[in-house]
Amino acid sequence: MVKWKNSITCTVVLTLAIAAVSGCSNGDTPKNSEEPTATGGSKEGSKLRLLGPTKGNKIIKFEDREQYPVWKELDKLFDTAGLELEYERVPTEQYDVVIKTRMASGSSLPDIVNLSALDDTTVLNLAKQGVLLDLKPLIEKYSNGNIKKMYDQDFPFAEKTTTSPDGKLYWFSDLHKKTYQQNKPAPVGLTMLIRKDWLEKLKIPVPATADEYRKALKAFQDQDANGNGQKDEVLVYNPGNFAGSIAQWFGLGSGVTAVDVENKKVVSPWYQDGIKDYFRYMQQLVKEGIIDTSLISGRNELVQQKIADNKVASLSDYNLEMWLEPTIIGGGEYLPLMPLKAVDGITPAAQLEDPYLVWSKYGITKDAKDVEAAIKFFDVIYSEKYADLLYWGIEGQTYTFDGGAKVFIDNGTDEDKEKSKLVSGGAIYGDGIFPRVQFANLESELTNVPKHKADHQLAIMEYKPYYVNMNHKYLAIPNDEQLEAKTKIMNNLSTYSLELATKLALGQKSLDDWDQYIAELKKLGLDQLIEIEQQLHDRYNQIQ
Amino acid sequence: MTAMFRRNPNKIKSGSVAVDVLLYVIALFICLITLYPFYYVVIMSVSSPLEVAAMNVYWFPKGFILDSYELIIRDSRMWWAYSNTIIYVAAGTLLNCITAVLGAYPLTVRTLKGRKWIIAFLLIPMYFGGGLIPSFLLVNKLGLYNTMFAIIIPGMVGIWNIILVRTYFTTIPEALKESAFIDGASHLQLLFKIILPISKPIIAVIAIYTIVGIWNSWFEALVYLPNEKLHPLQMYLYRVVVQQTVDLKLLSLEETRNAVATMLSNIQLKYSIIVFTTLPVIFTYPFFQKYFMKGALLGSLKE
Repeated sequence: MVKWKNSITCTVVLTLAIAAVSGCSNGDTPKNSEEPTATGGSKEGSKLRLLGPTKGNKIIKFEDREQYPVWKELDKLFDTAGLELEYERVPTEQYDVVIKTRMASGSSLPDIVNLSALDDTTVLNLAKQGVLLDLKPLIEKYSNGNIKKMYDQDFPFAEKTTTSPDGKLYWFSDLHKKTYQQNKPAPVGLTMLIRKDWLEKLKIPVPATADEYRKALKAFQDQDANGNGQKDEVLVYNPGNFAGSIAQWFGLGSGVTAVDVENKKVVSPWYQDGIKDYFRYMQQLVKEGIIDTSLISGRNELVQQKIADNKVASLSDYNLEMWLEPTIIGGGEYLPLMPLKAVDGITPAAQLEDPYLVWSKYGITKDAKDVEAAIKFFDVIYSEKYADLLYWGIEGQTYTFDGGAKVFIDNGTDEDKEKSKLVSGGAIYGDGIFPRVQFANLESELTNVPKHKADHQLAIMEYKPYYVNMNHKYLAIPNDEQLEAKTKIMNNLSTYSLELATKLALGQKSLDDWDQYIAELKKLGLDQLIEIEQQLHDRYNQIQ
Repeated sequence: MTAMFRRNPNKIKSGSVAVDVLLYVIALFICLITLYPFYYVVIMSVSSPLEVAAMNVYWFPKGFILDSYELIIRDSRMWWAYSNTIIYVAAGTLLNCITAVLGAYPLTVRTLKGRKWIIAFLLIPMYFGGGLIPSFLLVNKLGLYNTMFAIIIPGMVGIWNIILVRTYFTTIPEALKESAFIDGASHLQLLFKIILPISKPIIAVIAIYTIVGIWNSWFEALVYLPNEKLHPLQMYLYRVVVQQTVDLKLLSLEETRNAVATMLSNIQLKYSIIVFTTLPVIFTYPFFQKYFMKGALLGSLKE
């Protein structure tokens, strides 16, 4: 009895003590360290509260920003604009839920908020409820012209993809442009990569046609290119979604529907000429055991593991990737292939990533007390100086000029940079709270890749015809009616298309019943989907 | 008549070896399928990271590497989260026990007017919740958002606990209470000096329910605590798991570079963290076991 009493008393005392400490600490911790922290000093200016996820680098930390010269430069920009910024940063993994609940409840909103976790429709609904402000009249009234200049001159496509169906603008975006030789747009390629060292080891010439490609992969297996005594040199490829570059060799679009940007047309691979040949080719690859069927739609980690195990002969990825090679145990090299001729009469297409990227969303909320200051903030963001600091940093410290083009100075690993404090702004504050605005150039990118990749890049960026990897970026935001119809169709159609294409490729379904498949696709609304997307693409092209 | 009492020749005798063997086999099977997931997580956490990434480990660890544990132990965020969890568990358990006892006792006093109505009223929130957004608004307007109290206060009263404790209290003989009153005891004295000391089993049961519940909870933290420094352990685990499930196909060239690096380092970490976060609560059970069997049956009868 006494023992029991004592133990209760002890627990009560201990817990109360802990709770008291925690009570104190929770009064301090969020308020002083994580919740709003001023940019520093006792500056007088218009206060703005910003909410965003804690993206960015784990070694070069946002918390240590004051120590970096590039931050001091940025600070000056906001100082000149008379802005005093407060940050509320939420861990990235949690941001999705936090932003959804806070926006839905419409309470304790900051002035400027990163809305990237929400899709277009949700954001437009919030706008309808009055939680977000229409930016166009505000820009007209308060902007010093920077926003308009950036949106009209440098990134005219940004407005096309972010203007709502009723002609309003509810969010600003991250903007990225990659050019070559000052102003030539430089798209990067998504292509089939093949093991360069294996081709050389077995003295096989670089494949120039789809047939040679297949034979090369077969030869890797037959001649045991990785030398482990097993026929396990495989092609990692998902034939079902048409997004893996081989489909484009057959002239096919890069999704159930795809935008043919040059001809301003929405197409579907199911209606294109090369589709049956594509499936016949896939069936051959499957039959010969070249495609690892266990990895079709497999998890990224499994693919990574195969690559590490020195078993992936070929796969689809960015032509300028440099992250695969270091993971191969024993070393290896991937060579990006140009589009290979597969069928007579069809020019193989390339798959490109647009040199202009528009992504993420940053809105001004109804709780913003000083709307003018919020617009001033974006005037700073969409200035050339800001873009320069974010992507390139400071001249002489993080970048220099080589033949007229900016190139990065190699300041070593992140740990080295953390010590020397020589980093560009993106590493400290990119994404999350501050939008990214970047003017990249290909010249700098090419200094980091071997010659065969650089050559490929220079060739592919001029190549036609091509499809793009992000078709939705060429469609305007749908209105309610279009969205409803599209969502309804996509639910069933995309699943059916994926399953059908996978089964056809694996030979589990016969090409003889083709008309039946097309009839089913039509029944599920393929034609209607193409029609809606064509309307959206037309509107995209019309927005000035 | 005699036929009715004739023994069924097919009937299995009680105490038959066949039945014993069958029951043991079934019990063993259930045991295995219950324990295997635990075992699987443990062997994944100590196997070689390459085998883990390839999902090659099924029955025995392949290789023996404790690097991922080393990583966790060195991570200050994990220890921070650990200490937060201990605070949440300690404060939450204590408050739950107090509110359960204080809430249950008056409901056993026969002279309390409208007792049945109060009990009926208490049952309503057991079946109907306010929903996420109203709860969020409530927490926010009370000024609890982004403080430790957002986790502790909304969870401090458990209606189910009150009902359990009340049911236990009603099993205590009325004569005991009456004799205490005759000796001049007040309600408080009766509760704390007579009833509580003989109610240890039920307190132990609600304590362990609460400990396990709070230890495993993460959703409240996800919604109410944007500040990383206040996160409990399970939230830390959640973040590691989410970080790992990035779909690379949805990212552009710029983003893919960073994502690949993070993804690879997190594959095995997930398993080690699960082991690390689960062990303490598993070890709690033996201490409460003697009360547990007796107390756990209490909810089965409601008067």
